[in-house]
Amino acid sequence: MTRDRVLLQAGGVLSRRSGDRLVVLGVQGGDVTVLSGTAAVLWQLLSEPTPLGDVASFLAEMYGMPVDVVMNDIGAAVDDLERASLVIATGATP
Amino acid sequence: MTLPSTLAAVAAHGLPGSLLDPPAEPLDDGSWLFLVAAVRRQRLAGLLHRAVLDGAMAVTPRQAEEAAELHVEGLAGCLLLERQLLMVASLLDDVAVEHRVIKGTSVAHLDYPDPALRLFGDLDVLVRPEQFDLALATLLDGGYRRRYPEARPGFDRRFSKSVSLVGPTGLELDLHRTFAFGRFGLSVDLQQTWSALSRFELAGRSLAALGPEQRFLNVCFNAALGDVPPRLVPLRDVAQMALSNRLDPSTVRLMAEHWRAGAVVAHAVSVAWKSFQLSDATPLSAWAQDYRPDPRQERALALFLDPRSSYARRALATLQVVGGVRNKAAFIRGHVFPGRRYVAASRYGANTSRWGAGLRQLMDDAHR
Repeated sequence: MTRDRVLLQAGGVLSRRSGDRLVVLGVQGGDVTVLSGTAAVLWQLLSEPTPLGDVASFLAEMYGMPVDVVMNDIGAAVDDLERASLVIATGATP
Repeated sequence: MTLPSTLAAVAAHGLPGSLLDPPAEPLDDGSWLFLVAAVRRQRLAGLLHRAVLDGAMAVTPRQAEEAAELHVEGLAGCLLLERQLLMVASLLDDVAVEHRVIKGTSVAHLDYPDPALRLFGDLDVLVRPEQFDLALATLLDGGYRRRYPEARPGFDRRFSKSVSLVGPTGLELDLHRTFAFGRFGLSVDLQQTWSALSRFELAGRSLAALGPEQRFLNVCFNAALGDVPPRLVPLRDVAQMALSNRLDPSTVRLMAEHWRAGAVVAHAVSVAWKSFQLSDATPLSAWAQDYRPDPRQERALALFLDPRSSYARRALATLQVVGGVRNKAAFIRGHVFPGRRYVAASRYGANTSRWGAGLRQLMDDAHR
């Protein structure tokens, strides 16, 4: 997963916030997904096309962690969001 | 603090001027279980969770987690309904049926600071009477089915408030022709209902709702003419909108009088103010407090407020506002001589017993 990969929230997603959790549902199909913690923050940061590196830098500053560590951590969250059709890649690919 | 007062305090959370406060100490386990059950029934999980997050309601860590789970569960239901609403809107758009989203879904998005505060358990869509048959046929073709058969062909388009439908996934949709059953529904000026518009977005798609004053009258009808006693969420809708400063009070008053529903609106506002112990007076609450309904409206409203009032008695009251001899005859036929499919689906076993019982009840009510 490269830092210049550009991601964006998928269109056609219904969502509501509940505390630090996000409840989301794709309009085209699929089940309700509840995002919490990093996944919820990550999804909200992708309301506009954003390079993954920028997201990692923001989260690194937010949590006070090294950027490289955050990049590793968010990889799984990004995979989950893509599998659930909640985010799409719009830019450079790995 | 009793359960009803705790529940009212939860429902009032966030309303400016409410003198209700949730308990200052966490509830014991038994009381919490009862509260959770009541919150689930009344769809107040959004306001409960907000009260907990705001520190307004004292809870244990386990109770806080349960409130959060209850909210997520309620929100999941709302999102599934909204997905269905988008499909319904597409079906109706495809056949050029103009529609307005009414009640819970529209109020959540237009009148609450966060739609997550206002949960709902079904969908309500209003269509024009002249397009009612087309809308219904389109939805039936689209996989919806009626919960109850029509009393007689053409009855729903002329006299019903709405038709209850169940979608392909089991979710409920009420297709509305007007705001209420009976005389108040028939005296709604449907042209005026459609004269203004609000819009909200779901997943990037714009949907139409009623204009603000029409929407307020709709929530008042829902609060005053629905359950007895009224549920807290419709009352919260009334207070939420009346306190918002987004309504034109004189437009509301004029519209209510024109629809011969001043008693309904005044009652809804008064009950909301009393239920949530709202200390702030607004032009609408002051008007409601001083309102003196005409005797006919008062009697008609009393039928809805009396839990012992029969459906037949309300139907008889409705007959008085049905215009024209032929319409009156059709209305009576629908109630006293319903079709076979309606009877088969009802609690009456045979056509003769249905018309005999219906006629007896109408005659008994007329002589009371």
